[in-house]
Amino acid sequence: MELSGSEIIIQFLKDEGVKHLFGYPGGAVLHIYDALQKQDDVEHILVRHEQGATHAADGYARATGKPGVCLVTSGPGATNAITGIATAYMDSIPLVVLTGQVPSHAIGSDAFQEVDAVGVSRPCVKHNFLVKDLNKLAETLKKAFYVATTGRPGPVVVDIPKDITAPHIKIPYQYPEKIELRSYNPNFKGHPRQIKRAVELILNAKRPMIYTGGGIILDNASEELRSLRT
Amino acid sequence: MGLGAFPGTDPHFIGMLGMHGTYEANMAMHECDVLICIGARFDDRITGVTSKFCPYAQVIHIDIDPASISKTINADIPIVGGAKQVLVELIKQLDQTELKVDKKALDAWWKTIKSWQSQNSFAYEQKKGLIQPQAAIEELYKVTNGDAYITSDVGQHQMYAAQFYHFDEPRRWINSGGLGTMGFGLPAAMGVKLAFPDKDVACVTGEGSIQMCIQELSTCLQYDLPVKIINLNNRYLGMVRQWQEFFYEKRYSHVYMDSLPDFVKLAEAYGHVGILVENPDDLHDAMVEAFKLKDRTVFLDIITDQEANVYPMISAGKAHNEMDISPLQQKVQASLKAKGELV
Repeated sequence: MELSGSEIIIQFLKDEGVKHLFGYPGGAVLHIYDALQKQDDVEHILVRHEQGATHAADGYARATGKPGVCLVTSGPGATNAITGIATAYMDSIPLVVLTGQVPSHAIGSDAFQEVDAVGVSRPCVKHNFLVKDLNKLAETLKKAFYVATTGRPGPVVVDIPKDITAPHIKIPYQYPEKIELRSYNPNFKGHPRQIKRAVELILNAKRPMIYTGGGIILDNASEELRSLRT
Repeated sequence: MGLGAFPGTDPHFIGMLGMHGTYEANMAMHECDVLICIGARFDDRITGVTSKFCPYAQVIHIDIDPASISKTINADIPIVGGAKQVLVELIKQLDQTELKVDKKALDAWWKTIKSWQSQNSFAYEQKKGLIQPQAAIEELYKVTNGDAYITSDVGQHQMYAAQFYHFDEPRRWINSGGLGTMGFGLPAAMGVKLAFPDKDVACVTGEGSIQMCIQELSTCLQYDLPVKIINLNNRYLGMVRQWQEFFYEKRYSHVYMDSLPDFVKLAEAYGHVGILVENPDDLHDAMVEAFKLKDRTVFLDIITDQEANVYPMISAGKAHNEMDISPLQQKVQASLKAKGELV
C-alpha cells in the first residue's frame, strides 16, 4: 500500500502492537493528528501537559512491560517532555517519544516552536533519531522500538519534521519485521564459567546476601529469583 | 526499585535496603561475606559512602549493562547478561553441583538477622488525635489486601509507601526511584489504570508533589480513569524539612507550604470526589469508602503529623551500621543492651 508519512506512523504503531498513545497536539504534528483521527485501533489519551504524557506512558510501561509511547509537538512540547524522559532514563524504562519538528528546510532558522530536540534530549535518552528521509521513516521507528525494548531498556526519542508527515506525498509501506543495528548487540546470556565461579562462592558463603533491583522486574525474572531461595 | 520481585511477605525477604531501608537489611549488608547483586546498580541511596560499603564481602554483580559493572562498587565476579537467563543457568548449576551449603553457618546468620529484625526499625509512635503518615499506608495496605498498584511521588510519603506496603508481585510498585521526580505519581497512576482498568490503582503523594501535575485530574475524568489519590498532607515539604531538622539545626528554609488549596474543593472542581480526613478514628472508614467508589477518582486528603520523620536513616558519610534510628528503636536497643542481648 502507498501511505503518507503520517499514515505510515499510525500504521506502524498498529503493526507494532501499540494500543495506547499519550500525547498533546500542536502545529508540527497536525498531519499526524489528522491521520490519528481517522482510525480507532490506536487510542490516544489527551493529557494536560507533556510531562503528564511521558509519566503516564512510563507508568503504563512499568506496569505492563510493554513500551510506553508518546506523541508531542515541537519546541515547548519536546522540552516539556524532557523531565519524563529523564525519569524513564534513570530507571531504564522502555519509552518511545515521537516529537514533532519544524519542516526540514527550516531547521536551524530559529523557526516558531523550534528546538533541537535531539540535542536537548541527548544526555537523558538511550538513543535518539532525527528523520531526514521519508523512505527511512518506518525503519527508523522500528529501530527506535528495538533499542528502547532490548538489552537495558530506555527512552528513545524520534524527532519527525513536519514535511516528512505531509499528507500528499505517498510511498510504499511495508512493516519492517526485523531490524539490525551493526554496533548494537545486547548480550543476554552470562558466561557459564563466571557463573560457575559465582556458584562456588555462594555455596561457600557463611553470611550471604542477595541484593536485587529493577533489573529483575524489567527482565521478568521474578519466578527465577523466587526459585533461587535455598 | 526491585520491590515485589521477591514477595514482600516472605520471611526470607529482609526488607528494602539503603538510606531508609530496614535495620536488618542494612546491618546484614554491612556484615555479609558474599553479596549477590542481580539487576541492581549500587545506587548511592543504597551504598551510602562507598568506602565503607560491604567491608567484608566479595561481590558478584549480574547485570545486562557492562557499563554498570564496577562503576561505583568493584565486582569480584562480574557476570554480564540478562537477569532471567543468568538466573536460569545459575539455578541449573546449583542443582547440578556437588558442593553443599554450610547449614550451621547459615542458621547462625539467620539467627543474627532475626535478632536485628526483632528491633522493629519501622515502628512509630502513635500520638493522640494526630494521624501518623505510616498509619495511612498501613490502612491502604489492609483495605486493598496488598493487591493494588501503587504509584508514588517523591519524599517522605514515598519512603513510607515503600516501607509499609508489602509488595508480593512485581510491577506493582511504580515510582521514580532514580531521578526522583515530583509530579510523577498522578500521571503514572493514569497510565497504570488505563492498562489495568479492573485493578485498584492508588497514587501515594504529598501536597507538594501532587500540585506539580495536578492538571492531569482532568485527563482522569475525560478517559474514565478512576484512580485513588492518597495525599499525606503534612503542610511541609517533609523530606527537605527532615534534612533541615537533622543537618541544619531546624532552620526551616522555604519548606512550609502556605496557601494550600482546599483539596476537597479542588478535586470536586475537577469532577471527582474529595474526602478530608483529620481524625485517626476516621481513617479506616474513609479509606474503605474511597475504594468502594470503583468508578470515581477519589482524592483522600489526609492531615498528618507535621513532625514525623522517616527512620532508619543512613546519613551522608555514614556506613550501613551507623544508621540513625527512631527514638522507639533506641529504647529497644537500650533495654537489649542492659540485658547483654544487643547484637
